[in-house]
Amino acid sequence: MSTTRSAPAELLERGDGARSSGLLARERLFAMLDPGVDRQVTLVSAPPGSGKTTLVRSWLAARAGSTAVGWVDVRRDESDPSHFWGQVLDAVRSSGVVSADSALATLVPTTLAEPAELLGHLATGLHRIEEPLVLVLDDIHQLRSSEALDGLESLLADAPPTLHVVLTSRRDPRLGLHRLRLSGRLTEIRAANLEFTAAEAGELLEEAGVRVDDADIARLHQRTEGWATGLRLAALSLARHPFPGQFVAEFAGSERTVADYLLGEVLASQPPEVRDLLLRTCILDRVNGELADLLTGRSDGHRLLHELAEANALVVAVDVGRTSFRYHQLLLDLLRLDLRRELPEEIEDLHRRAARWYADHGEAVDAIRHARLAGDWDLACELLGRHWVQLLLDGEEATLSHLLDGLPEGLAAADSEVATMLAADHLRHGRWVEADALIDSARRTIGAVPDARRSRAEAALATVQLFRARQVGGVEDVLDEADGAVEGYLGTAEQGGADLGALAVLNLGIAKAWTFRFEAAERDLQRGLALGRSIGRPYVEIGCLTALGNVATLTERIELGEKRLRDAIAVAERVGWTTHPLVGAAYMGLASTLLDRGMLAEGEQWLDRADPILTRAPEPPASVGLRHAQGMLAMGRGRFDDALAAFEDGERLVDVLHAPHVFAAVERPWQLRARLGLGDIDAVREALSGAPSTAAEWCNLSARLHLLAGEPEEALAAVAPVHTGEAAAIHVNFNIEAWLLDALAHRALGDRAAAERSTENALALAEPDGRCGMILTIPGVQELLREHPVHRTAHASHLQLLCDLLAGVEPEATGAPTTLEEPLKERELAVLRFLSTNLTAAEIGSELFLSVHTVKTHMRKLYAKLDVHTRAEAVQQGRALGLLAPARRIS
Amino acid sequence: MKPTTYEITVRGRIGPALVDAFEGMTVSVTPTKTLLRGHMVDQATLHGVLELIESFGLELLDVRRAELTT
Repeated sequence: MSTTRSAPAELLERGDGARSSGLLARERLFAMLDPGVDRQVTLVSAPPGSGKTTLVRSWLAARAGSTAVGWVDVRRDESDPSHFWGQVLDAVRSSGVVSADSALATLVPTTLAEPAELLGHLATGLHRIEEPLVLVLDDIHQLRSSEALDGLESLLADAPPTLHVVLTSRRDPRLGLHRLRLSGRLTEIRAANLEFTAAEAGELLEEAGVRVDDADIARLHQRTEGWATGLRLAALSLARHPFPGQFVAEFAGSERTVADYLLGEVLASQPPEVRDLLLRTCILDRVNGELADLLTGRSDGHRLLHELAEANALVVAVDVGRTSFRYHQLLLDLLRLDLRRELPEEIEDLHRRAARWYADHGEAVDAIRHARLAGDWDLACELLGRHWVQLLLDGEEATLSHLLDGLPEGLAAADSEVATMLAADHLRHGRWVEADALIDSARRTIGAVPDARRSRAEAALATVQLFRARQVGGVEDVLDEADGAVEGYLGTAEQGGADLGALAVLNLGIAKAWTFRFEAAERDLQRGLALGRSIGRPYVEIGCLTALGNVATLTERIELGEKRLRDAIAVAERVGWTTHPLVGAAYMGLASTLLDRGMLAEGEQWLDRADPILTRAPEPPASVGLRHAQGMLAMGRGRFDDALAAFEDGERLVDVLHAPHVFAAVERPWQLRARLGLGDIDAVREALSGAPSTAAEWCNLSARLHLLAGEPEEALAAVAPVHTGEAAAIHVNFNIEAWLLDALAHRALGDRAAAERSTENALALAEPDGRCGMILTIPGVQELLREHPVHRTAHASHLQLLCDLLAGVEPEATGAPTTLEEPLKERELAVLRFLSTNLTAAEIGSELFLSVHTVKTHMRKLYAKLDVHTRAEAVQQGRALGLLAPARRIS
Repeated sequence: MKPTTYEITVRGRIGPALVDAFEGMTVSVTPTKTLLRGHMVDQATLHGVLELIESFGLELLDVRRAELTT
């Protein structure tokens, strides 16, 4: 989002700021600020108009070049944590101290991930910056988001020594500053410090070219009580006044409040064109010459603004080129009152013109805000319709919700696009009923959308309906219509429409995957992935990669699936989204493929990551997958009651879906396999009486029952239709299962040759993709495989892997779920490998030809990198990270 | 909190430009102070007014609940 993010820091680095923008070098206060850099935080807390921002600007200008500076103008009433942190990141990046490999370079704030994740990366990134950095958060009292305040508090509490944060605020912010104060890490500059002394007041007046005698200076100082803005306003009036002495006398004798009196004087004394410009441009937060001309109808905007900025600190340039200006807040507030009194009938038109200018310049949020203030709902809705997906993908959900809240009630009933956007907002918060009502409304009014916007409106509605269907089912009902709408919209190639296009294709692809249209899904998702990458949207990229990974896995391209899922997770790690709901599905998918390949320990780790995310942001289809995978893990470990609970939970979730799900058909037969494990033969026998005989998952279950009951002939009969294809297997795992059950039955009947043949068939199906997960759940398979002749099999290595697994020895993890911030050096890794033995440090030293001292140094360093304190913890952590082979567990 | 009338005193006399800012409140001026009197629907309204006073650089002298005689 290209909201205005000013760069006064760059402006200041030019080094000429102090003079030409009328900034006064207040050495007395600089002497307080300078030593503060060695502490963590400086708080400049004082009422408006005390000269807080001016002081910090002039101080930075005076010491320009000596330190890197990042500057954040906190947005008015900032309630969007993503936007705030985005500004902080931009400021830190633009200070030039962030290296390309730092997490700070790639982080993308989002409100959907756990706040702790962004903060963790931010803190780590800041700690790794070696040069001193001054970060100014100007007007921090505007920060209303408690989430962002909490985050900032923890950041300040643990700030690295190289970082110095300057906060300016109208009132003491709620940031736990008392703790910093107690520990001597806080510098404070308060209203009393900021008050001008009589001598400083004299300097200020002289700087402004005002010639008055010392007595008048004393009078002005007394009357304004050293209040910065009062003095500046007085200086402005005096500079033009024919009889300065008389002005001072009148002012000193007045009982009017200072701001009121002086602003009235200042505005009254301005030439008419300046007054007109100030009045008409005060509706803006930032002014530039072009916008000013648009609002005044003249062409002197840039010149006048430039002159005002040169003359005093009430108008300040906020960019390097001095083309964009901002008015002092007090002046702004007063001007807005004047505008309401003097030109009330023009206000809406001014806002409308500003809205169009911002829209033309791609500044969506400002454009929408002014369109709302103009009461121009047509324009506001057109702009929202064009930009809402962009805001969503920018992570500025809070800003979007705020903009939508401002629309008049009843608009949704008439405007299809508005209803669609509001429905999306409800869906994001899980309010299905409200969302459905709005979707119905949007469908009713879609015909009334003007032709120019029709295709976009249809694509947006289709996307929202697909998203809804993904959550609660009904994909089949909307898919065809959505397919057409999305295809149609992509054909229009609307300018700036890539965000909606990419999001639409992503949802379409996922919907097709959930309904087994794998080829079409693959096409859509590849298209979405390319789009998402070209426009730099991690949301689309992660979503497409995850879905592509799951499609590959479901179509039995297991290695490709694993690669895509790991790619999705890598993107999430890069942008700091590993706790984003979007990534839950990737963890779950990866866990499933790992479990299928027998890597139970690593699979479990990814399941443990997916579980909290899917619990926090439930998405039923993904949760079904999660429960199924948890059930398979428990089966593999022989924990049948856990498995039963997981499969039952999975079935319950499928029922919630009202839609086909890849696991829908198998949850019940898997529950019954778990029951067999628990020895509950009767329940299974009863359930089988009404079971479909044309589905492999049921035929195999029947065979398992017969084997357990000592009826191998019946078991053979049960699996026969699976071999012939009469009973359909929805996954190759059921074919593998059928052959092994067949082998077990032959073995029970004493036909070793037939058992061998069937085992070979199973191994042939399992080996290409390294499948083990299903095999581990079959009772009696351990003996069968142990007896299988190694010299006659064509699949010796897979057989060995399976025998190891069945003996409780898991293969080494191929990739660790977590990575170290700072990788271990080769020597440290060598030492770590010895820590799992009972050798002493001296003995390890002699093994590695190192001194005992060096070994201890390596240990200290690797403990720090692993974030552990004891040898046992180091070994445990080393295993968890895949640096050490997993412990050999014999069950 | 029930709707309540509040009296807010600030230092100095506020002029016509500022009076507009306190729309809906009765503004009375003494030689050295200004008394703002108004009906507050809830605490949020009251804090809004206090913020307005802050933003105009006015010095707050007193905030009190008025007797319910009006």
